[in-house]
Amino acid sequence: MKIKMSICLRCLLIFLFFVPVIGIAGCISIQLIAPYDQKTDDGVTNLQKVTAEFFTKIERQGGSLPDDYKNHSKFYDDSKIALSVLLVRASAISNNIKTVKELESLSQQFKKLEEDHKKFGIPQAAVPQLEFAFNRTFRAILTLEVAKKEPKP
Amino acid sequence: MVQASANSLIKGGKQAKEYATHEYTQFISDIEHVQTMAEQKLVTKDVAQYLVEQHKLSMRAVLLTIEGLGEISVQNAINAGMKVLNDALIASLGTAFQALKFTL
Repeated sequence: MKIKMSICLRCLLIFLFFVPVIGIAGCISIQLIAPYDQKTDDGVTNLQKVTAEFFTKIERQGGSLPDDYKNHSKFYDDSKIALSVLLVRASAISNNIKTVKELESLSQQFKKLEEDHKKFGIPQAAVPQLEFAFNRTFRAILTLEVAKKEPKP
Repeated sequence: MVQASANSLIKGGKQAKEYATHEYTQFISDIEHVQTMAEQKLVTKDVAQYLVEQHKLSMRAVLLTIEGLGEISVQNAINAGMKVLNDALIASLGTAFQALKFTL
């Protein structure tokens, strides 16, 4: 009798110990940074395409003087809207502060580009360097976003 | 468990290093190019200035990405370790249950 109870008690103790531990270990995974977001990826990629089209157009026409700015106001308006959409979405995702800051930085770049376009224009020689600077930011945002995907086992 | 975490950290660290090296090298090259254009009067001083500002703003995003890659690397390393622990516990529990059945 005593031996039977001892075995039963041991079984119960093992069960009581392992099951919660397994349960906890199975549930816990650390989330230091937001997960991958397809819409952010698509939105940034699309904005990069639109920006590339703008720079190509400016380069083809031999640069853009300050007076020519008004012919490109739609590009600046559309970019502002696209960035606003991206920022609102990124801000709504938790642990996503890095992507939010990157989008804010990109937003500043567009704002600065618009101001400088109005004041100084965009010479043809400056277009490649502008494109490099913007692509660097786009690349940074997309590199981080893609890295957030679940690692392959 | 330690091996799984370490492998994950090494992989993540390598990715961040490659990315950072490439971007820093490109940034330096771009700034030098802007300087050359200004010296050769291909662009005005004002335009050269705003090009440098654009590059500086873009590097802010690069630094944020490097930080983010580091965080992802740590996250994946911890989760890799947790997975090994989890698998080991399940294996132990499975074995324990088999032993129990045999004894009973």
